[in-house]
Amino acid sequence: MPANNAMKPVRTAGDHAAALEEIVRLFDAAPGTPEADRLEVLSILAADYEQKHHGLTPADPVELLAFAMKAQGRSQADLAQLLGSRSRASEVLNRRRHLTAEMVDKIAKAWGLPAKLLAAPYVVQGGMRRRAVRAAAALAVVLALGVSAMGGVFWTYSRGLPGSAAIAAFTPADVVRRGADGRLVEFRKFTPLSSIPPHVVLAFLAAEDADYYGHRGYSFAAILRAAVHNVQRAGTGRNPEGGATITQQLAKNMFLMGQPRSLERKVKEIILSRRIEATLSKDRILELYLNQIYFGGAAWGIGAAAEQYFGKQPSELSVAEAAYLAALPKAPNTYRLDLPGNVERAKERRDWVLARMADDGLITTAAAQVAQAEPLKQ
Amino acid sequence: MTIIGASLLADYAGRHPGAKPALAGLAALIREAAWTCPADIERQFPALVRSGPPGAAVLEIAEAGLRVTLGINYALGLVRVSSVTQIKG
Repeated sequence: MPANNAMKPVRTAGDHAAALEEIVRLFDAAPGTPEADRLEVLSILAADYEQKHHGLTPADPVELLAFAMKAQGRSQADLAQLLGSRSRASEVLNRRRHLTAEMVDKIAKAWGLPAKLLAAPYVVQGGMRRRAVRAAAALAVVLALGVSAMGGVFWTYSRGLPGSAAIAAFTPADVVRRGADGRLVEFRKFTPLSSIPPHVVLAFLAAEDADYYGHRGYSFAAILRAAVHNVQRAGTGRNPEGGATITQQLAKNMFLMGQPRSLERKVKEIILSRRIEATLSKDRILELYLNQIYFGGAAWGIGAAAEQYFGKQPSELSVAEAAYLAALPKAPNTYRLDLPGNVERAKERRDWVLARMADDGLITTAAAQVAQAEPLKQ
Repeated sequence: MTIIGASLLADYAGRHPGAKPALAGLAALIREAAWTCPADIERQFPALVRSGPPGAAVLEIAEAGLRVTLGINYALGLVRVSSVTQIKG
């Protein structure tokens, strides 16, 4: 075929065969001649056709490295020397680990191999499993560190906190303390649990700790819920929730009064709660709680609160009154009836407690509705 | 370099799957090469190069049991695969 023949694209096997035939004939053409120009173009067209129709699956980096080592007469020991480790070389050649960028650089420079071919992505044996094992190991380390750190924090904060003996010996005192102007500033009047009617106790359980008889002093689920709630309400200026159980609130009232809200106080509450639960019965804890919590004004404990707000003994409280008192510990100054502007909020909170009692099956829905219909007054 | 006749490598690999990694590696390295004289080939594949006719390079890949004969036009950067044959044991 003359060299000045029009160039035809290589689209078919026939075109390819014809191109190869002509390439063979022109292959030794001297550079700068028309034959060389034609050869060059034909070669590109034929190579492109072969790539599309007879492409060899490209060698991955390990195949390439293994072939290059044979072609250069190198052994695994040479690779080990280059990579600085026999196991590293073995793992690379056996596809148990990937070539790192540093390895690629070393091999490319030392053995004259194209870095881009060695850096191509490829699969190693058990890659997914190895990654999963590594992730699990990393998670285990993080968890172990977290548990150790948590243990350290608990150990540090537990020093100096009251032990079982001090908890067992704790007895609420009756107190009537007045200020210099004669005004009552602290009023405590111990009431045994046996003198507190069930509907009063149930109102507090519904409002503060529905799972009281099911947990062992603290509830991580409640703390987590409170943390999430606090994050959602961040920036609103409202007091953060603590997710505290009745036992935690008692621990705070017994031993941590005056300490500001902090992670340290929360940890101490948990430590003390565990000690309280280990030392006292659930009923005794509840009795101490009902006699120890703050109800606003001068009232500490259910006996003082019943008298301050309703002029009654706890045994005389109605369901609605019990629900109102159970609403107070959360935020006494927000719901105190003797402060102006609180009645609406207080009724809302009292009715919420009644609804919770009904939802928890502690009273009937009808009883809750009747109690909700009662006006709220001192 | 531009390879012409790579279809011979692919056809041989199709018939002898065990030879595929070596042939794929060879093709990849040739495409990236920039040979200007026979010495360049000997430098790159010292363990494979065997004597052959003038203007040709014969590579013997013992592990894969094959011999590849290449025609090379250094000036134009062309490598033509002339044959891929099995080494007679």
